[in-house]
Amino acid sequence: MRHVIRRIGIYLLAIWAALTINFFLPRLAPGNPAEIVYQRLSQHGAVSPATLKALEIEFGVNTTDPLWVQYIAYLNNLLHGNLGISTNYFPNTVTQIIGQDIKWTLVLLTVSVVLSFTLGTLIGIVVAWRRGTALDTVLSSVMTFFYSILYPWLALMAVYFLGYTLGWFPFADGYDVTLTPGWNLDFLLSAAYHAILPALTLIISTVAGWMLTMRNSMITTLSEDYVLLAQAKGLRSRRVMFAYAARNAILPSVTGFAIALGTVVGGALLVEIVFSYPGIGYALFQAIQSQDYSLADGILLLIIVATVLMNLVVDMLYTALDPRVRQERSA
Amino acid sequence: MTSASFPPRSRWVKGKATLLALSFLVVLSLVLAACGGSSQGKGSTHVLTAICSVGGSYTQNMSPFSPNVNCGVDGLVYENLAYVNGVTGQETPMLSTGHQFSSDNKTLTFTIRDGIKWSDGQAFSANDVAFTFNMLKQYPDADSGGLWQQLSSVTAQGASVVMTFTNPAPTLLPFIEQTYIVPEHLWSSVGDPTKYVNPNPVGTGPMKLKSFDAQVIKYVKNPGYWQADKVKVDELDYPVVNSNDTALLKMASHQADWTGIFSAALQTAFVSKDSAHNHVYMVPVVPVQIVPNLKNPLLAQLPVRQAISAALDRTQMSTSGEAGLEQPASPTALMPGQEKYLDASYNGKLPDFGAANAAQAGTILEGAGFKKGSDGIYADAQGHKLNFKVTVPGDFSDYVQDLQIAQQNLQAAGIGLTLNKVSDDDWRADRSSHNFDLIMTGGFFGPTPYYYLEPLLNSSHISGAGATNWAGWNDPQTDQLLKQYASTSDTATQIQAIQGLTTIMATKLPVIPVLDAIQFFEYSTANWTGWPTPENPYAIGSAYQLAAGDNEQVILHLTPA
Repeated sequence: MRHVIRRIGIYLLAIWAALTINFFLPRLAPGNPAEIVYQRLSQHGAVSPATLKALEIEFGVNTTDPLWVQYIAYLNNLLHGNLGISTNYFPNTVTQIIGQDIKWTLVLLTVSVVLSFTLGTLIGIVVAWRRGTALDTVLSSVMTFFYSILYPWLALMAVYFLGYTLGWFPFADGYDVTLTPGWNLDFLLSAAYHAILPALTLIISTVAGWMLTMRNSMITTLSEDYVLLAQAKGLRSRRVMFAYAARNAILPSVTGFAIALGTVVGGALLVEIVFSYPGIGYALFQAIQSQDYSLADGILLLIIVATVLMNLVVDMLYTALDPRVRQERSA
Repeated sequence: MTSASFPPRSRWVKGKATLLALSFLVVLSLVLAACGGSSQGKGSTHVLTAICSVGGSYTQNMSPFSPNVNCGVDGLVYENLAYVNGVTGQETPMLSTGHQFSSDNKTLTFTIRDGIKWSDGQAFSANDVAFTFNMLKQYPDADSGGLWQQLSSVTAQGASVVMTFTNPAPTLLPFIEQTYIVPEHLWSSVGDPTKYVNPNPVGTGPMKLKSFDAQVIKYVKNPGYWQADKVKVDELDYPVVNSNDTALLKMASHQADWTGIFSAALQTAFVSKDSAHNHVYMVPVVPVQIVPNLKNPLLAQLPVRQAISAALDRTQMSTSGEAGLEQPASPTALMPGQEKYLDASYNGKLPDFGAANAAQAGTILEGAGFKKGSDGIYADAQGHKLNFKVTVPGDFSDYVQDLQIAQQNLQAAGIGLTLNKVSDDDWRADRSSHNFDLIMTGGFFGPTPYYYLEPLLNSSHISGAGATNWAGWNDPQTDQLLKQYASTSDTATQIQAIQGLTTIMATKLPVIPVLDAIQFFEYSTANWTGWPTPENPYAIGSAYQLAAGDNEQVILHLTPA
């Protein structure tokens, strides 16, 4: 228990440090959101130079408050769960924008990460178990090939050939926009159909990473004496493979999995751009481009908290998976 | 590797599972593909699909006073007093039937159109117009035209709205005319209009909101619209698109009919896919220019600016830098179609810069006492070399390419040029604070060239936070001509002032025009016809919203193919 509390304390400290950097860094850059919106407007017709002034009043920029006063106000707002108002989507609040996009990101990326991890790890286990065979050689080299393909290239090819030329899959959107979103079968099927290409490309490009990590870790474990002992005892090979070798070999992969799950909330910008798929990554990208401090801070806060939270979960998981950790900690 | 003998005989359990999972995925996608086969449910309703912006999910923002207003609000839901064409300058009365300035130009009277209804059935009147302008007074953050810096009162008098100004203000007219009018009975209680999301917009325009979703905004025809017989569009959908490439694919596959994007691949990826239906019409609006910093003692000399201008190969910039979409600029900074603003000495023909001429540039410089050094670069008598840095946003790839061409051109003419690629923010900041030798930039635009020339050349815009006279051009004759335009509502006198200003542009080169910047416009006639064309430029066709409300004019002209 003491251990858990200490970990939580460390993580809270990490969150605070990240928040602070998160607050000051973007504000050190020159320019302000009003100027950027003004620039955008002036490309679209007669805009009076007075517009800049109107925007500055609207966004409350060029305040005379020193940075540290703004920082205290920011922390205070956070404590009250107030993430502020986005300038890019003014007058909508950051919470509204995140709430609107996050469901797409969470579903697509969580499913892809979990599938990719499960698939990759299982293949890794099998391939390591049968290392040196034709299966290992073929799978390992094919996987290394996928591992080194650039994701944007893979995604663009999928969009162009499977989506545009062959027309097997939609090449854009999260669902057929002629439908009404809601809990009806048409919409859900359409959403699932639209998610296949993005999910497939994500899985193809990441599964090799999990597989190679697992394979390497597994091979090291397989040379341990306890695996030899298990074999010698005459245990069924599946039991040796999973309960003895894989259970020990999976630890590094679990850490990676937790980090991957943590970063899910940041969205996948490339997927969202190439497939025109809704999600939070594009909002973050635009927030940074247009110096929308509140929105960028809000999304980064989400990523930080999610990553820290997942790390905490892994810490707990380790205790369950690895008896050695339990022993050390009780000592 | 002693462990090599451990693995037992092959058992394809996991491999089979994977295979099974994959084949399930394939089957699933085939089933879903069969379900998704029902394309746009057209039938008897005519749906127009437009891509008006590239970038991210929508958030609802249906106040026309918000800088981030959703597509379709300006002009389609809310209308303005009059539409002024940014290409021809022609005026079409909308909610007003006409306007008149008093002889001292300090009072402006609009006659308000009779018989118009809001989409909730209530009658529209001059009171709504007066209310809207007075709301802008109460909330300066919504007054993006800065109208109340010169307005002193706006009142409804019967079917007229009377505006009085503190000083003669004819140049405010376009900003007044393009203000979107909202209903008093709904907006009197909403507070600050820029902070009002306006979830159920009620307007006078041709369309009304059908549904809002973060991925698509849909409008349907407003049956009570005062020109309802002209509206053939039953439904207008604006789906979200996150990249230009997706927009092009949607246009090429006729999933969308109307957009406004830049792409160097327009010909190959869009037009050539169906050249009978797919069209591109890029509308030139203002010059893109290389602005010299006139505080630099070398650039302050006219011959140096003339030499730079003479050496530039604008044709190559147009064809290789801008994929042929932007044409070389005229020294007068006027666009094709604006010949009426030319001084009589041009005989009504828009002059061009001619071909790049390094020899001529050399002659100009030698005539002004510059001598070519051993390094091939000209220098003045004191040995100051003509080496300049040109500031450009690194991510404006077309500008960068144009300037790489300029670099070669100037090298050949004995002038050194280096590219200073900076972030957009730095570019903006440097531009306003005159922190550059040369800088490449577009400009402002409006219904007449005045709205481009005034911010660029008026000496009162040299300093200050949002300075727009980036060159630092300080010339009494220019200021006098700008004042002449601004103090009269007589069109002939205004045209005369612009003629003087364009002559200054051509002869004194306060900035160096390079290319004609364009508004992007791509359309398909597969489902809809009646789009603006160079022969009939009744509006700027871009699918994104322009301040003047061009979208409404397009909707009024479209008919199903």
